[in-house]
Amino acid sequence: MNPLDLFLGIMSAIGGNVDMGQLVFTIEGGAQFGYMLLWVAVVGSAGIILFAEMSGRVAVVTKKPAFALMRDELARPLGLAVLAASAGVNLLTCTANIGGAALVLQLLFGGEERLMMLVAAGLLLAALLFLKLEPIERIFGLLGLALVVFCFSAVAASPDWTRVGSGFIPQLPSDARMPGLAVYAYYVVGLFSAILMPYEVHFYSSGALEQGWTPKQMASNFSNSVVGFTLGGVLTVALIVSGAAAFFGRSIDPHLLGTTALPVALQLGAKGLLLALVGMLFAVGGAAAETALANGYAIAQYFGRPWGEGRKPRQAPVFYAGWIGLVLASLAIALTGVAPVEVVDYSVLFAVVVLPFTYWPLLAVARDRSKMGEHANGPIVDAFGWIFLALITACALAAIPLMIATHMGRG
Amino acid sequence: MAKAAREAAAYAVGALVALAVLAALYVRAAAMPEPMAADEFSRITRQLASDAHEAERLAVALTRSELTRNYGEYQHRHIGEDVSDTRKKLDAPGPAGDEAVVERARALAGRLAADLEAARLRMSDHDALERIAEDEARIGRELAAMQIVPQ
Repeated sequence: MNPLDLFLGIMSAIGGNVDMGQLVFTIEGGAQFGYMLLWVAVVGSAGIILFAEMSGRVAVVTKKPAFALMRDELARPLGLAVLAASAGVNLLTCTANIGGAALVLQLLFGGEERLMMLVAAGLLLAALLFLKLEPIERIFGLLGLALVVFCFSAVAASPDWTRVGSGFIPQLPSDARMPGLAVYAYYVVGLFSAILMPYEVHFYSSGALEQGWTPKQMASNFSNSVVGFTLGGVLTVALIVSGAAAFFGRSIDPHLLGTTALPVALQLGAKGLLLALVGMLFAVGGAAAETALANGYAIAQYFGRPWGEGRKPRQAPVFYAGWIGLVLASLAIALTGVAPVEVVDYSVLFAVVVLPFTYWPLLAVARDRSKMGEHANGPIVDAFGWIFLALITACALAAIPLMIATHMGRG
Repeated sequence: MAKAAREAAAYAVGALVALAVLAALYVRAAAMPEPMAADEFSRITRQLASDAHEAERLAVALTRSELTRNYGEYQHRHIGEDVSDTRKKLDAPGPAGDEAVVERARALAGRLAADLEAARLRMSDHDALERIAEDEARIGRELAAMQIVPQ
């Protein structure tokens, strides 16, 4: 394996790991509960590592991406329902990310909101139409790495490291400055879901097939998912610590996307702020690209039609219609003036309801020796797979009631 | 037989959905004026206090040259819009005995909106920003302490 490819793959995974959902839930969670949600970042990152590695391994061995597996493993009405629900979640997620990219463009360059939405969607369409998958991953992933500035900001804030450390142990809120248990549960479910968004494994497994991975590249699959998503988890931790250090106990509920970058400005000044905004722009832009492509992959794969960035539009019309349609529909919704941060709340909470149906078929195939042979799950991976599936199912059942009971986390 | 059962089930589900929709529409159409609930008032004042504290931090950061022009303008404008939207929710009648508290919250929201606009227009005037930040801090503290007694 080319070491440069490995390095770039890992770097892309780090930068491409953070999207609007994580930006919003980490900073808001840190503001509301201090360091108490850090353990969720660890558990969520372990979950995405487990399932991303599994999805890449299954795709390489069976030559089937996530939605083809779903079609084969689920009964047809349920499969179609999951496809429709996933498309709905993709629409909300892409809307939030296009709206978010437009907001960050405004924060950087000023200008009119709707014009920036058109610019963001236009650049996204151009990138997806004229670039191949690998350069797209590298450009968005590497420039999204500017988010590492949040790590420096978190350290510069001189947090109480004992409290930071205790945040990695699951515990219930006991501080009088914190909202109640229901709001805490809402943020636990929201952050967990934001890290495990279903489009990430759809994109990851389809990308592995597009780039022609073979069983010889299992090491690449392992290193990209383990190292990339682990370091992505470090970024998530840094975002929570930054939010907590800047806002916790100060009665600030950071509900504007721009406020997410304020902790960096307060610690590192205007240059740090610019870096944070560049990182946010490419992180949410990359997430919009991944969501759009994941939608094209899902629809084409489910109906057994040709798919792939490497094909021309006339060779894979359903795939192209799937992602171009999603970008245009997302732009149309964003142009109505709906707040991206509110859309992201809905997208993350609805996504968690779809999660069990995304990860169950994957686990079922990954543990099946008749399909996977020597690459089937070992007993430890299998056990963790079941544990995470149980956690995901519990979150899926709790998500909508918590959303209603807590007024979207506002208590 | 199975087809007839499926049709009957479909009619039953359709009728239940129609009834639920009609019930929801009736509840909405027949709603009577009600005083603002205590928890709703708390949510509103918490939101406004958050806006005030964030505005204060922005004003202080501007005096230290920690923010860019576009960032400062955007944040001030959008927090201002948020304050205007939240302030409209205070137009509901206040609960008996607590009208003065709600009225005071309305006044503070108005003052905060004016501070935000002043800060946006004077982002390079550090003396003015310091005065505005002090006022925003006072508004935030007062709003955060406000509450009405549940009826």
